[in-house]
Amino acid sequence: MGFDDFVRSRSTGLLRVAYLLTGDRHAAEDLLQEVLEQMYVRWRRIHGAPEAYARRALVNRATNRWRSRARRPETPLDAHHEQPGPDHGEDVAVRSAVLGALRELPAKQRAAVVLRYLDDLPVHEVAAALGCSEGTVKSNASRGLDRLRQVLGPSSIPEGVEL
Amino acid sequence: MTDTDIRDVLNRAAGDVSPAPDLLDRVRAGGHRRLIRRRAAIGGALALVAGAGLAPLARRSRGPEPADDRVRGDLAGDLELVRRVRKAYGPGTKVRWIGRTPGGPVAAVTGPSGMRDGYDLQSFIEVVDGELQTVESAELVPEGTVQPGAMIAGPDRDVLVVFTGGSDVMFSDKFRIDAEGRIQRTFEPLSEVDGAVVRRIPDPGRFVPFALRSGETPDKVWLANLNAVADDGSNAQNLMPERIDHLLPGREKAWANEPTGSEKDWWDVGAQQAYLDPYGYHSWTGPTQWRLSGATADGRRLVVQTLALDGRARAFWMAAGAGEKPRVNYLGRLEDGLSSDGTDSIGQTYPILHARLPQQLGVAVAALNCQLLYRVRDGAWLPVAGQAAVIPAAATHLEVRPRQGRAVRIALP
Repeated sequence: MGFDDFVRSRSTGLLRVAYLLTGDRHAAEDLLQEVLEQMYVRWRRIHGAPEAYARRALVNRATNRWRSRARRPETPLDAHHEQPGPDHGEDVAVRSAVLGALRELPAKQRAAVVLRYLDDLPVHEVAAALGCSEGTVKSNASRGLDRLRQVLGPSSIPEGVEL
Repeated sequence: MTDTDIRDVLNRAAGDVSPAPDLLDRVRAGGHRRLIRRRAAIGGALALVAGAGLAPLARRSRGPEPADDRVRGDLAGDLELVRRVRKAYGPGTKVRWIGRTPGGPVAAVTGPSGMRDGYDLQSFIEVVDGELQTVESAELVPEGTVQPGAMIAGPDRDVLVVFTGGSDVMFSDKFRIDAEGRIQRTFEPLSEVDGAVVRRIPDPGRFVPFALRSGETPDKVWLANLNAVADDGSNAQNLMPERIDHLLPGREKAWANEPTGSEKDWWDVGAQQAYLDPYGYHSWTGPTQWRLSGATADGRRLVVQTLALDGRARAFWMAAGAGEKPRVNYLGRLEDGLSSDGTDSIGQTYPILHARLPQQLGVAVAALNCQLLYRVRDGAWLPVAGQAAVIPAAATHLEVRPRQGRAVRIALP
């Protein structure tokens, strides 16, 4: 697969991961673009397993809270909530609840949950993306899920939203 | 909620995001810019013509010189190994140097980039347990040219191989931080033997202490396998840890005319070369970098700033009137009494900055995503607006409340 084909076919999936890792659509777009630019430069070396490389790079950058455009004004997390777009009200509520819950998770737990349950990756691939053992993935995903279940329990979800 | 519910919720939350239609164009343009920055950083000669993307080359006086096709190095006569190296790197590969090292044979190669006409990729191949392994990253060079490059070879990563590409290369084995918080190095020239320098170095571990520079400009020499050495691949991108510019209350009058150009750099230690290490190879990991800008009680501008390097951070402060060039004052390293570690609810530590400033200017405090409070002796706890501040010099205690986890109380030195 060539670089262009990779971007065309996988950018939506990677953007969804980036979105849930960052909790902010613009930050996710920036993150994905940075990673893809990095991949473009290194394509010859990584074209054998580009998606794994992309996942790892996304997670590393999101987890370490690094940015190539490193200098940014301070933005309180609470002010970073995704603003409702043209979605239906129910989806907006779900999104808000999920993003809020993910934001409360430590970065490694958040990444484990997103890769395991949004991207549906097997544990060993999540471990590869996170650069940790499979046991650590299981433990992070388990803790993350427990926390999500607490936060996303029926009482915390607005009425009319079915989870 | 079942696992299936979780999957459903995550999918609904992320469901309708989609990349911008011009993402591929922007990525390609950004990729080109990265290549240009790389080349510029090592003394290359690329220029960006506005609106034209990647421009034809315009050579600088010390730009890349055309390389002949002679294979250099003491293994150049090993035609079978040279053939294997060419095969391993792909069609069109040219072996520029191949030689014995204490860590096994190493070759410097170039080959067609496969991305854009007129460019080659330059990299290294080493022999590990009889197998040829290509170093994971490569440098884009104008076709038919070579640039100085280096790699750390051997199973113990204790052999430095520098392919000089015909340039003079200077080496510094380590750096030190002087009493002013500046990075100090001493460079010595490397003497090449038939195109390269091979020397033993201490195993760098995660952090690489040495530096290499070449040319008159001079330029940093590209280190091909910094990623592998620096453990976490993202460290080696030489991206800075997150930097937060925090504006303190009451600064408006002192900073009414925000400095621009070089005057702006006066107030930013991170923009001053003496405090960086431009020819070194660092894992720019470490605690959040803070830059707090405010005003002193007598109306001068005040900046307190931390700089991270190889997992550690230094703290500085500056104060001066508008239009005056401030002196950079070094407070020390954070681990030397200027910070403490808190622990959140899942056992992860986070750094808490608490640097007392001289001249009764106050105490700079910061902790990411935490609520801060301070008190004077046994007085009431007073909340701080935001996650960073310069609190009064009279403050004796700081309380830090993470969003989750137990609060930490610190007696301020």
